[in-house]
Amino acid sequence: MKILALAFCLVTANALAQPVPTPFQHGGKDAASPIPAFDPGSELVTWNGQHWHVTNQRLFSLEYEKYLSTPEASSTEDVAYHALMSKVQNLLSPANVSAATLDQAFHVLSEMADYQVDGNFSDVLSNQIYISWLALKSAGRITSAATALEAERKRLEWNLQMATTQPALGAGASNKTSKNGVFIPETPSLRQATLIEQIKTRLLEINTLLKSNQGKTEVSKTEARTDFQALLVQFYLQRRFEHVVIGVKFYRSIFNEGNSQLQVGEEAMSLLSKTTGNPPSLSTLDASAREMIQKVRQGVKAFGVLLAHQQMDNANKRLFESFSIGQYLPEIQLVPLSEKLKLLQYVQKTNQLISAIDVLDYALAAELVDSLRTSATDLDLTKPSAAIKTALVASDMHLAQARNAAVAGDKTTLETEMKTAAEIWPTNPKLAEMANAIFTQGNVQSKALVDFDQLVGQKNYRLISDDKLRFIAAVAAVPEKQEQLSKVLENIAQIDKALIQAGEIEKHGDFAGAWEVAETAFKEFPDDTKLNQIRANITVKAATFVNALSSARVLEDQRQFGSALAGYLQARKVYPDSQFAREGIDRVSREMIFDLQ
Amino acid sequence: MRTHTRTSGKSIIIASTLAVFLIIAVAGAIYFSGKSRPYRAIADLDIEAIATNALSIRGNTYRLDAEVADSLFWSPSMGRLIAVSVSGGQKVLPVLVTTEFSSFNIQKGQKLILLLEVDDKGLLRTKGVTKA
Repeated sequence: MKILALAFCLVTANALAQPVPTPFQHGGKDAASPIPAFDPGSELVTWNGQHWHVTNQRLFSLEYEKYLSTPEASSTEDVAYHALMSKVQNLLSPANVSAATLDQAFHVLSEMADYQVDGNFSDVLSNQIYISWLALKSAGRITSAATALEAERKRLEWNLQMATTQPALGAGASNKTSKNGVFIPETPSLRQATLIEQIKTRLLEINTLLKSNQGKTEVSKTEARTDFQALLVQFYLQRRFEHVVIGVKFYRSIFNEGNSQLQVGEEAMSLLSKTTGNPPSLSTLDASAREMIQKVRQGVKAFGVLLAHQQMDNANKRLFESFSIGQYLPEIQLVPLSEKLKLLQYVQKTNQLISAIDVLDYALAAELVDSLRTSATDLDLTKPSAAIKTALVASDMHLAQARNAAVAGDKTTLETEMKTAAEIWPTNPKLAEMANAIFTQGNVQSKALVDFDQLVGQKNYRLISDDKLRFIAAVAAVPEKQEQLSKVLENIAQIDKALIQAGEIEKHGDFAGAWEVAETAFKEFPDDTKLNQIRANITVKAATFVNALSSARVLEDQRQFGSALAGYLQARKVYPDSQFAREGIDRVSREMIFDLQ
Repeated sequence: MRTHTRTSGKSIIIASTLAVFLIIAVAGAIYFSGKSRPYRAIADLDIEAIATNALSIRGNTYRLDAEVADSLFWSPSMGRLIAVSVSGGQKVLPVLVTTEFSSFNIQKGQKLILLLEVDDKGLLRTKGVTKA
């Protein structure tokens, strides 16, 4: 963890050396301090007023994911560069180091500067070495260095000549000759043009350096030493550990110092003291750089083993740590793309999982957890699983309460519960289903209520009864309508009962009796279509009785009591059990007697 | 010849006598039969008119042969309202037996000859009651 924190510090310190855009440019008390602070207890890094968890790879996610999707550095140029780097280190090893090997190493260092992958670090180092030799008036070394630079210049000039006059590799002998025999070189290809441009630039640098060196007369030894140390610290902070190791070797040979205290600024001093645990010296810097290289090598090896065992989480941690420490080391650069792509998929999924939980998309989060459970056997998914389950249960509980509130017609609770459920899990499919159901139900309910009012207005209770389930559901939330519907259904039940009774009586051939039952119901519910229809059918069958009774009623209304009474008596003669006739006789008899009195 | 003439004259006398007796018997029967049917001078009740529009014949008096079908109502001041079966049981009519005939013992199934008046309400009121 300490190594990782150091790596973080190195990265951020490196970032300080270059203009880095946002999100770190915040104000605040800590904004004045450019050096990050690491708290091992909380594993938090504080820098520029912000706090990050040290393992939060999203901080470097862009850089890291870019690395994971980049092919391994196995091009001819990369291989050649790494070979030169090994050669320099080998020349400067304690067993081989001598004046000749120093000159040779310096020469190779100048060659390394030609490669893009070097990033001009070798050039800067060789300049510093040359300046230091000047400062110490090391004539032999200066001459040698000047010779090396001159040799480099000549080599570059030759390369330039070849690049401009020779055809591109594989282009064939396509140079043309004009009619008068003048040689016309072919227009250089894009690759050639780029190469020529690089050579020209480097040649210009070499020429400038030679001129500059010739102009220098006196350089202070102390100043040269301090500059060299600062450069080594700078390399260290920029994680160019191989250059640190090479630089230290050159430094020791130039200044004949075993272990000198580094003369650097307070902030750099503080950072190095905290990370190495000792006052910064040339030895600690060298040892630390070597340790970093070693850590990276071990980390990459561990990554390979863990990846083979599908322990993606640990493999990712090891590679991430190694990448953070030694992004520019060959071990990191040579990790095969196929292996990095496996890890990239895992990293993207974990980042997606974090984002899904952040935006409360638990469905996607659950899918990712399931996927990660099979692909990364060592990943601890307890926390995301628990968070997802808790959210699902809580959201569903609120939805259940909302459903109950909807059934009870409690709109306030319904809205509150729906809102809470949506806040917990906005993309809950059940929430969408329920919202849709409520919306649809609302429409259906509104239409049913309109229909109900219309049918009640038309006294078409039969139609209401035929579709009673729809209306029962619709009036569930409207108490006054419930009462109305209840009355309608009671009436229909009464009518149906009368119709059944009439039907049974009719079956026995008692048409007048059946008619009386239907007529009794009809008097109460004259608008029921079914009743009307059955009553009409029975009326035909009991025509004599019905006519007598009807005539009697008409005459009674006309107060022709004698004729009315005769009619009722006649009706009773047809159907002796007639209740209507009996009532008519009683009524008219009384009426007549009282009228006469 | 004389014998033949004497026999013919005798036969004529006998036939004449029998004819006179026959005429007297028929006339007597007609006379006595008409004298035993009450209210024979009164018109029979138009039953259809009572059933459809009694007010059209109100104030008129009619004779009716009827059979007591039912007792409908009784009032000490107004009398007894009964239902009578007429036209061989085809029709039933209400009749108010007024208090002046309260001493008349009316029973179901009893055959009566009634003298009736149609009052202002179209009700048949008894003006005379005779057992048939």
